[in-house]
Amino acid sequence: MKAKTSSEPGIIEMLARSIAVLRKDLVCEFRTRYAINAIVLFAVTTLIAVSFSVGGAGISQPIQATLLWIIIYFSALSGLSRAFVKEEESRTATALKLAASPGAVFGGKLLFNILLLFMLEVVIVPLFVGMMSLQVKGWLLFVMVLVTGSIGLAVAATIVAAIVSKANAKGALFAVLSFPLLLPVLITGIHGTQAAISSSVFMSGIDDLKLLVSYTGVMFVVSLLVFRFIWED
Amino acid sequence: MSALAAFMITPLLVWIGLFLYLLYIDKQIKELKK
Amino acid sequence: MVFKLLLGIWMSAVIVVAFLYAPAAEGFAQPDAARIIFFHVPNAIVAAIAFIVAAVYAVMHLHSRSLMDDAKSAASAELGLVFTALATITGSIFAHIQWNSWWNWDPRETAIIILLLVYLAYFALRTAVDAPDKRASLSAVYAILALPAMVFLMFIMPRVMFSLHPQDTLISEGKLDITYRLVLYPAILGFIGLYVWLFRIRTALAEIKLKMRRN
Repeated sequence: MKAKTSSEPGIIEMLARSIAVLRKDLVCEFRTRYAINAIVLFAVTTLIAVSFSVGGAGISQPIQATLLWIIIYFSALSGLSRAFVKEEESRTATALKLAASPGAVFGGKLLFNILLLFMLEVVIVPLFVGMMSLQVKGWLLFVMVLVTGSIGLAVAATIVAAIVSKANAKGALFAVLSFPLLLPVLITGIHGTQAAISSSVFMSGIDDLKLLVSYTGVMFVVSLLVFRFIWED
Repeated sequence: MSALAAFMITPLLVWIGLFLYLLYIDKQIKELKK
Repeated sequence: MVFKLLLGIWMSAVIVVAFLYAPAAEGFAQPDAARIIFFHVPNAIVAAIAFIVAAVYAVMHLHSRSLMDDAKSAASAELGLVFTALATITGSIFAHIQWNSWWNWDPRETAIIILLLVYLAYFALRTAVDAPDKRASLSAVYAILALPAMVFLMFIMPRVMFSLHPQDTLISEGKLDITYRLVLYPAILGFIGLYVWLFRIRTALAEIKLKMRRN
């Protein structure tokens, strides 16, 4: 039986298949808890280290925002980079190619990574706010910047994870490749978070939100278009 | 010779050197192509 | 051949004129040293053009599957890397002369460094894949992905960085004198011409290598 990648179906079907891929990954993850462990462990350790050395000692708002995003960014690096590697390693890649179109595979992996990041942030953000005695003035903006920024991080991380899975195993490659693609999200995210901390006016961060949404949108579309060239042999 | 003209000599020589070198490479490639 | 001879004379003329015709720039810490602009700016422009060319050939490769298209994409990236490095270094030299600091993280400096990182990432990827066809398609994918990132970074930077760290940009010296523009624009054209020539040479070499491998 040839392992030919399935053709692209309509949007609803693609969404349904993506969710199917997502569920498969969730089940696998639930069994091993590999990625979530790595991510949360990394984030908590970093947070403790940061809080211990600096914690609440009146550090400036830009630095607070920066630290939060650094923790999230590096956690993403450690936890999301292997999104495709386990497929290659356990040879399930062929089965996946038969079962779902490239778009659905990418969609599923992306949804999984987004979920992973959200689960991380639900834990780490309250901890951060608490341990660093952070006074956030604009909560809505704060949350929205985090949400859109995380989706942006997830998109870039997912596509780079796909690229790296086809290269010779090199730990540093993921970091090197993803950094330029993630930098716009980081910079804008930090800037927007800082705005949210310092001001209760929602509109003060609206430019950053617009930037995040448009960048994420563009990267999502480009990644989707380009994914099948990575995925097929 | 003004100081400026003296400073100009270096980049000029560098460029002329590069230029001749590129012509030389061009010739080598033409021969390789045969 | 005509093109090359013309280029040779053109660039020589640009160099001469940069020193003997363009006046020393007032308002600069070392007015004569400002002439590095005629070298620095074209480098940065060529670096950006080379990147776009690499991305274009990347798209072509994904469509044609031709290894030659991939070779052209990589060739342009090679040249782009060299010019970006030159732009970064000359920019740093200028910054030191003008503001007594080798690096400032102002918008343009940051943009050029990011471009450097993208190029380096591209080549890191290329060395990490052995199979030629896989290497070609993965590199092409990355070059295409880097394009929106670069566009955003070139245009986000001014906005965001300005509000965080108000700093002099390299363009804050006021409007460019007409005599300077008269030298700068031809300089830019000359460097683009140089890039085209270098690109053709590199591509010809790649073509020969491909043919040799096939035999």
